[in-house]
Amino acid sequence: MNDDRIEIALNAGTLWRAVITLLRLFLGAWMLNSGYSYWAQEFGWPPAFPQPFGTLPASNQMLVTMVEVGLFDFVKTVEVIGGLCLIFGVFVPAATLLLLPVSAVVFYNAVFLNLRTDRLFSPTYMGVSCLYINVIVALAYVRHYLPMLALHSAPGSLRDLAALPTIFKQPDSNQHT
Amino acid sequence: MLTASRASLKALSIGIGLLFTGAVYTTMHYNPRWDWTAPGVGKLPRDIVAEFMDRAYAQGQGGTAQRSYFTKDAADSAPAAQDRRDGAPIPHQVRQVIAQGMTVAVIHRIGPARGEPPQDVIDVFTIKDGRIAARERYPTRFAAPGQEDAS
Repeated sequence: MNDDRIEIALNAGTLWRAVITLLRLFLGAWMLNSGYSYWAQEFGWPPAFPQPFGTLPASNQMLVTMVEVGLFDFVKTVEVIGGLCLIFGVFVPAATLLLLPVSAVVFYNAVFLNLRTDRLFSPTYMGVSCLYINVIVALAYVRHYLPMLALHSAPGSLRDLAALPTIFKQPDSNQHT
Repeated sequence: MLTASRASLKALSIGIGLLFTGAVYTTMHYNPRWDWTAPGVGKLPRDIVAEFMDRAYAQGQGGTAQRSYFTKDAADSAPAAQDRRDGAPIPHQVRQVIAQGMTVAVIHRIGPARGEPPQDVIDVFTIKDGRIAARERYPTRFAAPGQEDAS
């Protein structure tokens, strides 16, 4: 069989991969829109939505301060880069990990600062759902994180960077998409 | 069992991702909860207040500015203030702006204009959804130069 062609069994494993793929794509779409909207306003382009500054005072304070001190420039850039990686299926494990702190702060802002505990389990409320989706996608890629979770480890050398090009070559045989 | 090429599955997933991106954009952009007509939508509270003050004081367009920058049901403790009326520019000197969250306090000296004497005030603005939802004005008197208490 041609190397490019793969067989897809109609079983639970395929269903799991399809669900994870859809969650990954949706998370990427959300992050891209969120990051784009911030930068769009900076450049005078039409954003998907205006930058929210929270409902309750503590949330107002955190979000306004993050924008004022420039931290949001970093956060929104991470969202755009991470979102694009998830949509285009490149560097997915790294992008998922990169977006995890962003999702965690979004969750913290929604639940602990805006006190939206009423929507804690609302799948349509991205204030909480983005963290849930992020965690589920990260768990699906956990095999990529296991090496760095090693209990015992020894430092290498900068010569290890010579292996960097292999990240572009290694085919991921366990992935269909 | 199905067979498919990796390239086509990759293209399919990217296509779905872009579709999701467009769907999220459309759903969020046309969500009725945003008031896109608000002059300060998505802007920092201190910037909204600065824009209002520029229009109302430097350009003398307080009437026009308050109609667009204040919410319809805005609470204003100084409803007769000159910065809510169109007319000659009003000279004013901002001493300090203190912003925290959606609250912006402007400590400024309003110069004599439109037949009114100068006055020192602290204006505390509350911003909501890109507009000024409340303004509390606290008249005060700045110490004359050289008379500040140095203790």
